[in-house]
Amino acid sequence: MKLLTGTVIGLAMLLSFTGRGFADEKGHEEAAVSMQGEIVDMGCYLGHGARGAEHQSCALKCVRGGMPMGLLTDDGALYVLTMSHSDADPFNAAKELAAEIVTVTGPTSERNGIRSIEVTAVKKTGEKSAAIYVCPMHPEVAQATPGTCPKCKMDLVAKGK
Amino acid sequence: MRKRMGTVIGLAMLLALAGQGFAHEDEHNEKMAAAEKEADVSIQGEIVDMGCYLGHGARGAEHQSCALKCVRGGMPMGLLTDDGTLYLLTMSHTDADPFNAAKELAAETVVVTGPKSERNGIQSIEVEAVKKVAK
Repeated sequence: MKLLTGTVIGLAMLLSFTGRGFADEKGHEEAAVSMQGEIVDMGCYLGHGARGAEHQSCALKCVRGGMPMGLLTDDGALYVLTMSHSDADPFNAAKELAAEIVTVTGPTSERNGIRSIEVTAVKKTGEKSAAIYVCPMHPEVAQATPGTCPKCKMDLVAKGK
Repeated sequence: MRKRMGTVIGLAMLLALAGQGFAHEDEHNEKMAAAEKEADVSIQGEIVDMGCYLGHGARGAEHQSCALKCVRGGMPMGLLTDDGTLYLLTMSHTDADPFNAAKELAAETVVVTGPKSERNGIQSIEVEAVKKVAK
């Protein structure tokens, strides 16, 4: 009887530790957030800053063809959009909203300097913006609203309005 | 008759000048694009599926079957180098084949060749060639 009780307790402890192990692995993901921004096709946006209404037809073609998508927020944060293992539909729906202002919902993650959102829901929430504000000295600094460059403090200039 | 000839010549000159303007603008745009893109690089690393890698650090041989399923289904890919740099892989407008070939090399060590870009803190490589190499 003692042996049986000991085995049961041992098994319970083992299961508890195993569960904790899985929980830690999932712990790298943050809770789900809802974030507004423009869906950009990452090839054209990272390559030459193309985005907005004037680039929509190219963006749609690119993302439908398998180009990665990003969410560019008003404060210039750029997230890679990833697909949920349990439901690919919201990710695929996001492709049809390339160059639109949307709200994306899902868990965020960050690793090796890249941030992502796993798309569990997406909804169009704003009008297309044609302008992007870039630093005259640092083209890698770009955002959807006016501001100053965090590197050299110069005023950002509108491009593609 | 002379007046009509003059009008025709005038119109032809106007059209030629306008054409030159457009050509100049195209050239300027191409130069701008080239300036923001770096020259081709060849970088070695492991192809990771970005959903699983960013979400919970999954990568390597033990994750290969999931990675293959993910990237074939449209999950973005990354290239993780030995020094921990993570590049987003993008598709070339002129030839999607190398990007699609990279999907079949998920979780393998490869050398990716193509132009490198960086914007808003994310680095990327446009896949123009990919080749499996020994670890």
